[in-house]
Amino acid sequence: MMRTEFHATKKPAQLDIEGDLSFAHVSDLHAALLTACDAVDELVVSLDKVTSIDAAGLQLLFAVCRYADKSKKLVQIVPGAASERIDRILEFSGLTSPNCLAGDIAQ
Amino acid sequence: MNELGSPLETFREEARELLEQLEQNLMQLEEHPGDHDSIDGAFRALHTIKGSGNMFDLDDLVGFTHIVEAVFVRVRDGKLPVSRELIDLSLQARDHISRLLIEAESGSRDTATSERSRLLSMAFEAHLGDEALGASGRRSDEQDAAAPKDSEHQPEGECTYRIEFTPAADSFLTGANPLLILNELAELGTILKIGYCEAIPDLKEIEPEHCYLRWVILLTTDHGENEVRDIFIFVEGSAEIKIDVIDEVDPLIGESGYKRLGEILVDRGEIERKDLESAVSSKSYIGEVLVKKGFVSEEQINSALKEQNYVRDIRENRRTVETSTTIKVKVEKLDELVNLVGEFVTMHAGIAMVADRKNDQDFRAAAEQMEGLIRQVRDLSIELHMVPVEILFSGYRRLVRDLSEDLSKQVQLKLEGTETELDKNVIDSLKDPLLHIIRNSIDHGIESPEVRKRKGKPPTGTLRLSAYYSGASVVIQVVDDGAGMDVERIRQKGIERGVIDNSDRYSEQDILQLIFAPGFSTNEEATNVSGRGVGMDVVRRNIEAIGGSIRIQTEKDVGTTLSIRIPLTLAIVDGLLSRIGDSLYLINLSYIVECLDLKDVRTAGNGGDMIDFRGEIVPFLDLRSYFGVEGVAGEHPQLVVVAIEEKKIGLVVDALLDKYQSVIKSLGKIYERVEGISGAIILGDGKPALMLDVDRLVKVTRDEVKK
Amino acid sequence: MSAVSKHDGETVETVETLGATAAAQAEAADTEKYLVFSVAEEKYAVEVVRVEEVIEAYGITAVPRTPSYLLGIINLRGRIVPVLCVRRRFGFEAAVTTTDTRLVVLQVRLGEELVSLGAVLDAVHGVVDISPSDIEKRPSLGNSGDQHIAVTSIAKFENELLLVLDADRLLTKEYLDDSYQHLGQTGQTGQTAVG
Repeated sequence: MMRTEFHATKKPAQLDIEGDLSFAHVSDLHAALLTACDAVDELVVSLDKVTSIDAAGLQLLFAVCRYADKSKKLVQIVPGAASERIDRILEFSGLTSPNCLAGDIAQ
Repeated sequence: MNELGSPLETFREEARELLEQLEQNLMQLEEHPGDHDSIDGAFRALHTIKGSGNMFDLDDLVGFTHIVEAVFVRVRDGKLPVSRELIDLSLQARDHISRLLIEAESGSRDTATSERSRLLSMAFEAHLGDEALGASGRRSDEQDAAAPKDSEHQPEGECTYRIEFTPAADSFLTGANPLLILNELAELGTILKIGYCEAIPDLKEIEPEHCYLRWVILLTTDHGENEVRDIFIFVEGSAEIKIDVIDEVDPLIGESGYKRLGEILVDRGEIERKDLESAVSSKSYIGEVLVKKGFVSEEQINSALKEQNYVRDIRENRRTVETSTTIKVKVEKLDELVNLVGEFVTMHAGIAMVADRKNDQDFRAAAEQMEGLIRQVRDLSIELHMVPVEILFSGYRRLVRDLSEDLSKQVQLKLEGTETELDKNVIDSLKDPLLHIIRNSIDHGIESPEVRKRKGKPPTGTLRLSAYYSGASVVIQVVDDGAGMDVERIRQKGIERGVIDNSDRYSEQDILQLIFAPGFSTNEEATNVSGRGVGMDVVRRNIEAIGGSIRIQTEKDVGTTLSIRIPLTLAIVDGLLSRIGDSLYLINLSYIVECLDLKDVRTAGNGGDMIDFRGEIVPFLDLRSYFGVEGVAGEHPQLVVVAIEEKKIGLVVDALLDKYQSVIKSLGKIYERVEGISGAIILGDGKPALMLDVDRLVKVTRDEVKK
Repeated sequence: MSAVSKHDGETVETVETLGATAAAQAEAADTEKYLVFSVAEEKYAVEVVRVEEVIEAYGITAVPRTPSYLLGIINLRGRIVPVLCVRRRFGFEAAVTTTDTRLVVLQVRLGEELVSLGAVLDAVHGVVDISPSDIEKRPSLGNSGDQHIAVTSIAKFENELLLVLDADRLLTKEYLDDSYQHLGQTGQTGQTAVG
């Protein structure tokens, strides 16, 4: 299960991702992220309510960061309560964390 | 742990050990040509000699060893079978390396040696096939790293694989989750996963269901390459997988570093060597330069750095583990330890004596507790001093091989019970006696193939060296299936020489023992191998010197068995303290069958010179008169029945005291000719007492009876 | 070296009578130190470098079936050291042990080996310095008895004549072999307790 909620009016704008950040939902999520990124110049992606994450999901977060670097938009991914989960999968996959991941993740 | 002087000296010492190991491996290979352990062992020995030789610029040695090693790389990779010819050649090479080592030591250079180097090198090069040999023998790292590619790598112990894993783009879709594969790999051993995310496009371009990730995985494991590959079985068709061995347990000794960054990148195929070379010339950090020039990504550099650190750590760790599991200790130090423990035992005996005298319960309890501890320390220190007889036995492989070749005989050497342990000192003193015995067996015992065929025996003779425990002793046997000894001929010779007379009171064993008499030989024709009864008297003397005895069994045309019985350890003996006159004597407990009151024993025989021991007529010796003690015997003389290999005698002593455990000390040169005494012990009160030579007393008494 | 000690190293007595003289002469160049002792009313000197220590003659364990001049063995701090009676070796009757009786542990060459040998003597007088010029090679005395076999020269010291003992000749391998051989024929043993 996965749900996204886009708060375009917030300053900065925020995209909340809820549920499984996994392969089954990456297409939907990709669409949601594209919409949000196109709509604003400054975006916070909150993973606070993410309950699971897999390699495909993680890959998508990298793509977000890469896009931000390229487009000079300010995108920040805030892991919130999912920070431990993300730490674990990063360690598990031997990947270094995406550079736009917020600093409250232990680095 | 090494106390030897200079590093060169250390190297020479090590090289000698390695050559020894090489020889063992070659002999093993001759018997079992496919034995991986021996191939690896031989290769490793050569590799280490070469590597260390390099450090001392011993060019001749390194150059020559390199060629031999290169041949063994082919053997190891299964490209060259082990043949008799190759073993022959390798043994010659082993001797030649030894020669080169001696020359390096003395700094001399013999033209004959150089010529031999050349000839042997040529012979080895012939085995290299079309594989080109690196121009110089001085570095072989590339060759080593590149060695096992097609063939499966069977590691001995742990090794580290570098697995480059690029999953197929649709791997998420097919359900082949790469993370699960990583997980399975992690279960095989120690792992370092380096994920690459640089291929992930930005949000606009990404196909979210495609996999863009790839990994370099370093896995340290003792599983074989096939087992590692098995994990990729479901993705094998689609994913790209490359597995290399980047570290093994036994590269150059003491190697704790690893390849340079650039080398790792070249290895991985991430950079061209020429690009690397162009970058090396500039002054800044190689990594920075490479990234700046766009040869590699930062991620690739970081990954290579991780590999470098990982392998260094693994190697460093391994060295620590190796040094902490085994340490080299000088034998002298162990000797000293055993001696000190012996003193300790003696001192404790003194304390226990005082405790007894004071009749103090607490003191006595403490002394008893101490005894338990001392016993443990004693056992441990003795254990440290024990080595398996394999060390002794396998040293004769070469001898048997060379000797049978010289004598045009076919001899197969079989080793049994090689794990049997003996005191290191005993092993050392057995070396020469066994050598003589084996020589004699091959020279006089085992017949030539023609003779054997005529006798209906297989043309190849068998020489068996076996060892087994028997009570407090170890029995070592040299068994051949040769011609056997001609007892009648030995008897005749004995009569001729006046050693025995022409009566039938000598047992077969008595007659056979004659071969140990000085200068006694039955072989009319002296050969240059064993000469005329060479050293058999020396053999017996040496064996008796360590408290051992030797027996012969022989049957015509069936073969001869020489059994040497030796005490497990020389250092400390459990004995029974007995009194004769005013003096105390220790009798080794392992020889004692029973102790009886003399008055309960019936005498037998015509002159009353025998006793009836449980129905068996046994000769006895009154030690009082044997030792010339004046005065009358005690009130309750005791009879101690002792036996050496089932030969029993009774020893009459004035009284029996306590069990006593003690270090045996030599009486020294001045008393070495004393009969019936084999050493001294130091009693609790500091006074010395003597140790009875039961072996000798049994012999003397039984000889006396025969007369 | 002038200290007399028990086997355990505890000093019981210091010989000073001649020791003081020795110390006074120690500075004189080209002198050698000698230990002076007496056996059967005669004074002997032996090079101090050969002397390991001087102890009381007790705690000797007899070894049976040995020549009578071999008294047995002692425990010298864990080492087994053979002991010889110099009187008997020189062909005299063994003397009764007195408070003066000493056991001098010497380093002697036996065959190719250097061994420690305890020598029981009537008394030890101390250490003196003797200049080589005061030592004269002794003319061969032919068969003048066992006691002179090991004496190679004579030293003059303070108006006294000292017989200089060659420690290596006290017991030679040949002599030892001979006496064992002799023993085998006569069956005589050296069972005599001393101390």
